[in-house]
Amino acid sequence: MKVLVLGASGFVGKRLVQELAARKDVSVVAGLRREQAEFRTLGIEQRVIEATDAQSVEAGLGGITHVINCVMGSNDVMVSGTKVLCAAMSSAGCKRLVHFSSTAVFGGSEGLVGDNAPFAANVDAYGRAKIECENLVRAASGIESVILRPALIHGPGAEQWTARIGRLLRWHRLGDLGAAGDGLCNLILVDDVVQAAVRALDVETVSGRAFNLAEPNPPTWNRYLMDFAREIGSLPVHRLPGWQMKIETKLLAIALKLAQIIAGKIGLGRWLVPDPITPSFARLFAQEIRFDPSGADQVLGLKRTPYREGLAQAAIWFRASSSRG
Amino acid sequence: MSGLGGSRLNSQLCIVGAGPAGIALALQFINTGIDVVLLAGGALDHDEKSQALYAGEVADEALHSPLTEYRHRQFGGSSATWGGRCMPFDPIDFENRDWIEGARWPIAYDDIAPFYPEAQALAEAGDCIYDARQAVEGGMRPMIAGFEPEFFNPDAIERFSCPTNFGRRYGEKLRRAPNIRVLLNAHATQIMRAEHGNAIEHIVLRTLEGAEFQVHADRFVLATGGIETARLLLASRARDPQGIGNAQDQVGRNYLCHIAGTAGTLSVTAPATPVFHGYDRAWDGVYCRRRLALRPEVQREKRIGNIVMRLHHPRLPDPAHGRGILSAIYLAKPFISYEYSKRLHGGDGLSASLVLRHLANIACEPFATAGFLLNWARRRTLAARKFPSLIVTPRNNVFSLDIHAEQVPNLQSRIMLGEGRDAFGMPQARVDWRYRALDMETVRVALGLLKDDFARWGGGQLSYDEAEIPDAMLRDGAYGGHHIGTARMGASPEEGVVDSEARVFGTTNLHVAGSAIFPTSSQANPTLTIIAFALRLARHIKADLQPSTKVSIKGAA
Ligand SMILES: Cc1cc2nc3c(=O)[nH]c(=O)nc-3n(C[C@H](O)[C@H](O)[C@H](O)COP(=O)(O)OP(=O)(O)OC[C@H]3O[C@@H](n4cnc5c(N)ncnc54)[C@H](O)[C@@H]3O)c2cc1C
Repeated sequence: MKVLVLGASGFVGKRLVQELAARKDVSVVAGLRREQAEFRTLGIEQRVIEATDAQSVEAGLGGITHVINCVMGSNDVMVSGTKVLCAAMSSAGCKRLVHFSSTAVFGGSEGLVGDNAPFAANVDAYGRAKIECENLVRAASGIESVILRPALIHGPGAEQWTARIGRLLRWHRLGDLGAAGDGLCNLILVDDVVQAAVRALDVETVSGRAFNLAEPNPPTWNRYLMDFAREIGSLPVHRLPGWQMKIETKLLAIALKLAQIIAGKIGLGRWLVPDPITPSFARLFAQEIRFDPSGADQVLGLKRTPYREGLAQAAIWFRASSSRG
Repeated sequence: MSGLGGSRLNSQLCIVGAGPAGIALALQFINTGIDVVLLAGGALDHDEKSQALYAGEVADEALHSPLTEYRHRQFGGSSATWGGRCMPFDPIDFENRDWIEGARWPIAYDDIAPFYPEAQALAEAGDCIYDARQAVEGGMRPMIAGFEPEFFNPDAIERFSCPTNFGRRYGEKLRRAPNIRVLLNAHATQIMRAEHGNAIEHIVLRTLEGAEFQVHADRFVLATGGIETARLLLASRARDPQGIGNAQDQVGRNYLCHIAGTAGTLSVTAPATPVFHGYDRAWDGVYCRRRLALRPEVQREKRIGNIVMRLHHPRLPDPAHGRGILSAIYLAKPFISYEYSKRLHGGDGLSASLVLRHLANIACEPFATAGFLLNWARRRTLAARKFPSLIVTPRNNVFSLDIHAEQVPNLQSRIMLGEGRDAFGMPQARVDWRYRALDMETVRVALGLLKDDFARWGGGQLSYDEAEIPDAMLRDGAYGGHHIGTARMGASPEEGVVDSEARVFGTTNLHVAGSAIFPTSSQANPTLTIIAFALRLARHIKADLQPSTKVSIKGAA
């Protein structure tokens, strides 16, 4: 099988390429917008592909049997890229598409959510784009598809749910949130996501089947924040007063968002600006949603890394990378 | 929170009272499918009219505070104001101590110990580690470096809750649960037994607006606090002339608080000896503080009760302490709530010359005083996890001792029904708090032992006037806020009000949660153990009740 990983320069994409390159039974092609020296030194084939450009995608599919789509971008890019990809794959006669969606398709739902649960009505723009992509993938003719919905991906290299959280804990801008942090924190370790995607390439299943990827017994946000603070040595953990979170979400967040945009425009690194805690980010901490991972367990045979072990891995990486940078 | 529909409410489990006990219990039923009604007996916050329902009579006002003080009739109960000091009971508390009359539990320490870690989590008091060498990474700072007492354990500690207001902290969680209905402003006035048999059939509820209705349930739990539990049982005379569970005249007896006060002068004279009587913080931010705990083998040998002591700043009213901040706090008395100022300030009046001397203290230490106040604002007023108490390092390493001792069982110390009636016509409670000679003896012997420990060490002296011990311990009367023993656990109806599962003798389906069920008071503040017992009761009730088909389990799709 010859596998094209689209979005190969991204966080999950890069991991996937490395993992597949180490396998004898597959040959892997990295699909990206700009070639990477890292892949070149590893002797990995690279194809420059513009995901929203039909011609570019068709050209990139030469000899490919399987595609893993982890293209990230603006909502429009994700949707039009998926449309282009599905069409190109059917005309090229490819076999299977493994498509990365997200648990964001369930928006602000609460309770236990299964793989086949209906999409939520209260979904943000990102979630709506992900839903549209899923619908396109399911409707694609002539190819098989498997959809993966990772929850919050953490672990070594995870910017959003490891590095950002770590930084906010260091600054004591997150910590023990009290009643505001009783929601469930649905984590999935990046290694486990990679493992699931590799299995999805040749697992026998109904086309269009979706798998939620998450911890079966997620910790509360308070638990995760406190455990991670302990792992990275950001102690003692602060109990954040309600007024601090109000200032964060109501005042600071807008200012920091603006600063990030300006920093981006004038060519300064966005990372120079502290992370905002937006109202939607803060809402997550109280959301009592849980995903039933039994589909991934049974069909994909996913062996999830235990929570504590994942946390320790994430912390080692965070400590090392933040002491360098 | 739901309104009141109709004059009769049906449920499987009715919990009367929404303090730490009732709330901890209700939380265990979230998403179990068991239909629960939780009665708050007050509003979301303090409300004068609800609070007035707590009014009652006190036999000796010098010995016990008014019944509207040190308890809060509202959602969250007294956790709206508690200090948050937590520590479990000790194994010796559950032993048959033949030298203390009535000190008998029908269960052992191991029956309750497994519930403490979860209780700690609910109280937000951190890990269940009560050894100063392990509570904080690298160990806590020593109280008195080099002092190794023989009779006391110097590594005992107490931990502090935020202090968590259970109503604010868990109200939203309960409100979201589809199988739990929280009723505010509904007051239980009568527990009704079924006409035949030993089951409780319903509870009569009244509102201050004049509505009356009933809650019917398979199981009932009284979690109304130590005084109100006795009052409610005694006042439920419609079908039981002596009150419910009171066939043997046991309800309301054995009313225990704690014996507490400051005494003695401890001066640490050894040169270059660090003395630290403040707080260390565990990894999760929980404040921990050392205390000297009388070792269990010494309690057995000396045939006395359980007791702990902490180092304390000198008494506030006496300006001789020379500390600006102590004087500032003393002068700020009118701005501090009754419950907290009572012990802090002592009863003495303020004369003009005294005021001047306190002002002089402040004038001599303006920067230290201002710095202290700023720090206090940051670490207490503005903080969500609050610095637990006033810590002022005295001059010259001279301290007093803050004592917290077990009050031994005493059937003559009682909650009864008084003459007065509340707004619903329900008889008010009457408190006749008594103590026994052994209570003073425990303090006297323990102080003597500590004195010996210091003398043997040689680095410090403890001095006190033995004749003044009762005065020091009773200056503020029974320790406020701890209402224990009034529906105590016993092996039989002759020995108690509830059985080892906290079920009221003579009933099949009425339980009690709260410190009312403790036959002995320990040295420990009660709330952590109240929560642990509520968790134990939840497990018991869950095993008996089947999920109702009427309630949907959230998210079961
Ligand atoms: C100033 C102060 C400081 C304290 N500090 C500490 C400390 O540091 N450590 C510690 O361990 N403990 C402390 N306590 C004690 C602690 O507050 C109590 O142990 C704890 O609140 C008891 O919990 P509970 O749920 O049993 O009862 P409560 O908190 O008394 O709650 C009783 C509940 O029952 C309701 N209720 C009462 N009557 C009725 C009725 N007829 N119908 C319906 N509902 C009713 C009330 O509204 C309330 O919701 C302190 C108390 C005070 C006052």
